[in-house]
Amino acid sequence: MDHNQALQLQAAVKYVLGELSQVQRDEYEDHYFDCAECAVDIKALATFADTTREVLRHERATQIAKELVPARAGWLRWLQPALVPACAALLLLVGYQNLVSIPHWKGLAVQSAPLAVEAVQVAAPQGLPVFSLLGSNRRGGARPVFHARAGESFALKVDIPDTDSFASSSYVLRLDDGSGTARVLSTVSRDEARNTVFVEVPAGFPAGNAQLVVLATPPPGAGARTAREITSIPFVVAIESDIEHHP
Amino acid sequence: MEFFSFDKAYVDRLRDGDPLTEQHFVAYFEQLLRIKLRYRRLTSDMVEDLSQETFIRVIANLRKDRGVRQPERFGAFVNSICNNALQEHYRSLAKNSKNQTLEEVHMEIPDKVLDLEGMLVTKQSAEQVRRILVGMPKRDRDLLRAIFLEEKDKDAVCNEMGVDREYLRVLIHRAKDKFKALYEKGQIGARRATGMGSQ
Repeated sequence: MDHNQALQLQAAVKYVLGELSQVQRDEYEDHYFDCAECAVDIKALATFADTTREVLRHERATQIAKELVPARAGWLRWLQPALVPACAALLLLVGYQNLVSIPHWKGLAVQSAPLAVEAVQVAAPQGLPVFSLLGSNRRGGARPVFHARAGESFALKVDIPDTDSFASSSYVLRLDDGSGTARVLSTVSRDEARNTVFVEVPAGFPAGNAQLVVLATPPPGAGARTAREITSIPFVVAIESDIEHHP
Repeated sequence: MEFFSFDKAYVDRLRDGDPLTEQHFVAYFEQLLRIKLRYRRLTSDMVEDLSQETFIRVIANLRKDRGVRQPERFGAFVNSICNNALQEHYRSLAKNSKNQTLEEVHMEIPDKVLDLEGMLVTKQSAEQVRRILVGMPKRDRDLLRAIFLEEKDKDAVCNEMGVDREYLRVLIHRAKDKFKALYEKGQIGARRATGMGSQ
């Protein structure tokens, strides 16, 4: 395929839309690796497509968050028995805290309701650098390195594995740093966990080894009283002052 | 706009381990390799592994006696090295899946939009895309949402919105052109930083 043929075929757009045959795809790849003009074109188009998907995903998550917050407030006002699941969640968190003994969880139980709201708000951090943990837990030892800016927060993108025999109603996302300090970043409902989850890591997170731990909370009435770890994803945070973000 | 071209001097510098040339080499081909490999629906881990493998093999090949016969076609050479790495990957997959032939393992999912899993997203690109989306009519925006985010069947979406596939292609092509202006600006900045001229 030469340059004119690539233009006539609208090869770049068709490539991104998956509309080329296997032969055309191979010929076009051979061409764009060899043609600087088409290389710039396909990079721009792929970046546009990739970014559009992420921007639209953020917008949708923000929209869902806006819809969920008032609904939750109304529900709490309306229904007294709502205190029952709230207390159950409180007990679970206290049980987990006692069992695993994480100092940073002290006081968390009494804040469980605000925490849930905050989790919705941070589900789609806008304008933050996003680092992907997708597939990282399958890597078996190799840790991705994320370059964050000093003094700035960043976001992690993670899929919650569908291996939860609890049929949990929600998940807790906890971030451990190299010193063993644990921070609860977010709680995510079972519905939210069906999609890729974005979670914000506040500014000031230390450089070094870290791991994102996903804990499944058992559903009310399941008998179990402690949250159970379903996956932990190790990575490394490098703090730099002036770098490009390429997750 | 002037585009970068490879020549013997570039290939010689790369073979000799010149740091600036190595930096340019990785910057130039990193995205192209990601795009190519993700097109095959490989996981992001596998994309990274095969990209690294390609870079290593290219350098190793350059340092062999014969090197590259056509330095001006260095890009095609990188692509062929990547194809070899990819074929080996497919062969090892086929070996591990006893009941599948190589063709079955290699089989593509037809008519799927490229999904790079946020690999190429930066703050700047997100801001630019937001501006482009805001300036679009609602129907065009809904069309992009249905295709890129909800991954609906393209024919069904076009039918539902009263447009054809050509309209979708032109919409994406025009949006890309707007985006490209900023993209090229960013590339010029990167080239100035590495001192490697235009791409």
